[in-house]
Amino acid sequence: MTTTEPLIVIEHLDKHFGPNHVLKDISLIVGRGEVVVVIGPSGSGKSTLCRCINRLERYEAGTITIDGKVLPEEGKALAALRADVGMVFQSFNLFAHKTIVENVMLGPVRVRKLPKADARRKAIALLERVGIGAKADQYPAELSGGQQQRAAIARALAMDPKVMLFDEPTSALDPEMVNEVLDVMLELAAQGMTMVVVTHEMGFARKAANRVAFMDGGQIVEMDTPAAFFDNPKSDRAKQFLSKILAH
Amino acid sequence: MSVSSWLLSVAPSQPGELRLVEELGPRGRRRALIATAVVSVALIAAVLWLVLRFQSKGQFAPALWRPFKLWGTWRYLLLGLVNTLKVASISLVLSLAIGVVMALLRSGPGQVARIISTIYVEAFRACALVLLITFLFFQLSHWFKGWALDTYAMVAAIVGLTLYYSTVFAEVIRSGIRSIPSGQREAGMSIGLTEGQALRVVVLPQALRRALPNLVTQAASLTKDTSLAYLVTYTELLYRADIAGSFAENRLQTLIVAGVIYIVVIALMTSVATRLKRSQRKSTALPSLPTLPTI
Repeated sequence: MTTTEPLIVIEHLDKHFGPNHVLKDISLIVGRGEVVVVIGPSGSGKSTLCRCINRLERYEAGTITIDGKVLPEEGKALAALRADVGMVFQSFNLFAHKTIVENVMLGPVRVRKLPKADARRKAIALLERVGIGAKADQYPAELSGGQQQRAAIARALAMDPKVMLFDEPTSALDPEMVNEVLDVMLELAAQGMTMVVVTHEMGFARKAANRVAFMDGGQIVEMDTPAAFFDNPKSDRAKQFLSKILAH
Repeated sequence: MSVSSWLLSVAPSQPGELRLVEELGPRGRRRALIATAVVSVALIAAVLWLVLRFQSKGQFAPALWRPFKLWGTWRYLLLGLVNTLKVASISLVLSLAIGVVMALLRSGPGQVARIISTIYVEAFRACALVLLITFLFFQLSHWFKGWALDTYAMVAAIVGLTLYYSTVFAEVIRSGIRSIPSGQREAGMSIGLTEGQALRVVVLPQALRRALPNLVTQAASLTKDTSLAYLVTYTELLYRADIAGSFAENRLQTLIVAGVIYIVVIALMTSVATRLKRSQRKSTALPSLPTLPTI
């Protein structure tokens, strides 16, 4: 599945939040069709890294290149590049004043200038693909967390993104809804979508990841295939982290 | 039915409304009942006193109320109401439009736009409305010759109300914008909207809905403030009530009638807004901002 062709190239990324040095000289290459799962303790910088990839978070130094294009700093060029990068948030962030299908249609209509009827057809198809076609005309507040997150995935997919970023997509969900979202993500991965996933779901990492990046203290401490990482972690910090979460 | 239970039934707490206080226990309920009774008695006494005073001064004399049996009196007053509503509605539309623009400029990414909007809002919000209208009235007659007196007055009132209330609406809408979680804006930008687009398409509609109760309060306030145009001789409701009252020598009665007309108009506005809000409740997960008191 992994090809040698790089899709995302992150080089020497540095970011501070005031006095906190949250990303320290991060470099990471994600190949086309590759699934990279980023794990690590809270405050390790993994969410920030994820948000830097479409520049929802500013960074002071370093470069990010997506499909050969350096991430623009601002304005229309940045918006255009973001349109090619799907993002799924921890708190879903569906547009509260729009129905589910309108949520999915907004990007294609406003940004891709697709005619409304076409956008709607496509949106309905996507909603059916994530299993919530019946909810198309309801408002986000009327859906369960799992359904909302699946709608959010459909909204991102509607832009035909080159890569999907997931920022802790199941952390705000009730336990019984986690799997319905992970299933959609597994299917996406199986279909060859390039994905960067920040998560605490180790099972997902094992099943779907081509590589696991372990972050701590603003650095990528270790990077390996899931089998090698989970069964045979090399760094002490990774061992410590895994012993805490896999203990029960 | 006791007075207190009647009062409670008039203002029932709605299910799903934000509760700020704990539910009352038995002692609390007893205290509330006593307080309600005392206040009710005091209110009734005050009203009675007022009525008796009116009575003893002869203000209920049929001769003083007779003009209201004539259509001519009503016609005269209602033409004033038409002028009031004309100024109110034009000012409302203009000040809402400017208010939205100013709120967007002040919340948006543009540095210069933010400064311009801030200066505009801070300057006109601090102006006394009477002063603004009076100043405009005299300046207009300087700048533009040959208008009718009533036109100077009307334009002065509209421009004055618009300048002042656009700042009020700008602030109400801006606080609505600030109350929308930043994730909404970020989600908009993540599907390729520019920051300005995300603000307009995603954040603003939600902000307006949340700000609706405050906007209605301020719109009612604007409508009442059209009475300030009286000072520059614009023939709106209050002005005409004053004239009709001095003509028929029943100024007090006429002003009371005018007051009731204002109350009815404002009540109609508020009830329309309440219905509007109820019809769109399900589309917003978030409760409205608490309503600010009218200044």
